[in-house]
Amino acid sequence: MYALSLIGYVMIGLLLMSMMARARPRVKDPAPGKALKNIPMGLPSRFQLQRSSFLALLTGIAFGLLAGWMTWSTAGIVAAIALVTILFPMRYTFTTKGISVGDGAFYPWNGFSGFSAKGSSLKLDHPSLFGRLTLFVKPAEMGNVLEYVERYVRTR
Amino acid sequence: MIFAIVIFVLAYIAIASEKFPRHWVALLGGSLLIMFGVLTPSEAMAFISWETLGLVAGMFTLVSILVNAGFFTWLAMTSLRKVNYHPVPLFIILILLAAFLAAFMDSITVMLFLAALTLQLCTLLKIDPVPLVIAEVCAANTGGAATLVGDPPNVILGTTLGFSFADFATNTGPIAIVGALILMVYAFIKNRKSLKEAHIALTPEMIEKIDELHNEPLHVHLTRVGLTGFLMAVFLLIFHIPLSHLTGLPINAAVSALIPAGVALIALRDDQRKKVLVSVDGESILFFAGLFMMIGGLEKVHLFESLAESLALATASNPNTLIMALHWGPGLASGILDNVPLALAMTFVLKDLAAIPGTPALSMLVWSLAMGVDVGGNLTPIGASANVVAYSYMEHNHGSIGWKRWLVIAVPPTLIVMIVASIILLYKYQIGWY
Repeated sequence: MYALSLIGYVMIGLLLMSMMARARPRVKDPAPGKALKNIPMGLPSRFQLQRSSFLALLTGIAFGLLAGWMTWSTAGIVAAIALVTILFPMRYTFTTKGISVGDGAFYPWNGFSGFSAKGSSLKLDHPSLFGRLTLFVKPAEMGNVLEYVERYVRTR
Repeated sequence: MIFAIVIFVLAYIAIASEKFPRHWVALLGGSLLIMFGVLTPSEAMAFISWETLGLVAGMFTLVSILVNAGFFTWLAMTSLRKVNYHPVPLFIILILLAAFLAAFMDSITVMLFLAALTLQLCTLLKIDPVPLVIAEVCAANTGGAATLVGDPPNVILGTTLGFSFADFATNTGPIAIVGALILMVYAFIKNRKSLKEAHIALTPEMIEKIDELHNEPLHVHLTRVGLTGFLMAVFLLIFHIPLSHLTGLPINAAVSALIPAGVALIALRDDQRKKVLVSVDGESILFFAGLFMMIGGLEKVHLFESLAESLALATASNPNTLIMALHWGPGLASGILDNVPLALAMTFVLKDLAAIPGTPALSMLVWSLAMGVDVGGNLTPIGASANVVAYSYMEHNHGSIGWKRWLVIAVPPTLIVMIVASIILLYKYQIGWY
């Protein structure tokens, strides 16, 4: 039981650290190319980015509670930290070379084969990335973002 | 271009002089632009932001129902009764109430009833009403910055540039709350001595006298209808974008306010409906319409494009400088200029600025400008409509406050709030919370 709880806590700790690292990477390499625009990432985007770790974390919490090695208060604290991590503000950086998502992943323009925009979601077709990268942009910012996307995705 | 600018400047002077009804001036300016061919009639109509007008009309109607119900006076008196009219909590409650109410309704209405109530209370408590009235005005202007419907510049910025109630509440909202608290603490520190003296002098007879003030019962049906409509409007304003995507219906900010207002009007009796409609501030709606046409004329001659390019050049593409320039420039200007036309003109500048590569996101520019023009309006007695209302009420019922006294009381806390807002805005930009 002791070993199980130890492994469980280590796993949960690692998941929280990975979520934190995505939200606030310690090493921030500047995105390649000249920065054109920084746009805030909507809450759906941030959830989408963290969803796998968050769901794994919830599974870990549920398992810990069922197996009895985690108390309800600890579970509450862990879930609260995870939620706060998702609420951390993040942004998209559009550069002349591509798009950086939350100071972490960078996607060059030449990886995209097309795009479609509806409301606040902008879908960029990508052969890998499960077929597409979806960005959630405030409708008010969409006009400016589309200008760059049209310029760089079409002229490829 | 020259003709459009001349018309705009002349109209601006006429509006600022307050010698002519501002809605007539704005409509005349718009008509002159059509008559002299700067705008075609269809262009003039296209430049009017019907969404802004719809939102303003809907909110005015709902507020008018609640005013007719006596809801706001009841709310203030109930809060004050709870603290037994003790001067210190009374002072704090009135300032916070001004900020809170102004976040959901126009600050003119807030100051119309609050200035009257404050003067009555202060006379009975033997406190100088001037510092409290000015603190309330400042709190109302600052609290109004918290939401889309709080201050007219926010309505214009939000509806013309596409930002929702939730966008404002989560971005300018926290800054406005901090600002209102700073104003409250500052006003309290400045007046604590006289408040303590008034507290010592407070007698049961005085409490009895105050208790007799505004004892009119609350109109239950009007309150129920008004509050239901108001809450419905706030709900729709928060969720209209996801609701619109979900249902496929074109629910915008105007629809979000007009539907609850329409339903509320249907629920009223005939005589009540007439009374409510008569008290809706139609002049402001006409003023907005005329203003949209005049500013549209300037947009058509590409004045704002040149202004945006000059501003981007002047700030040398440094985002922090640009954010500060948008906060302080229009902020200080709104102390002497009407912040409504200023905000409307700036929407076009912001649109063009945001399209220039390297400038911050449009949202960041909007929060910076909104906080500047909303809070900057506190600086002088003519900085915002609420100031004019409170200043003239005091002039007629108590004695003139005087520009000098206004400046002495209002300028220091306003500058403190603007400095704190600047720090928060820069921090928001650094961490990407915009």
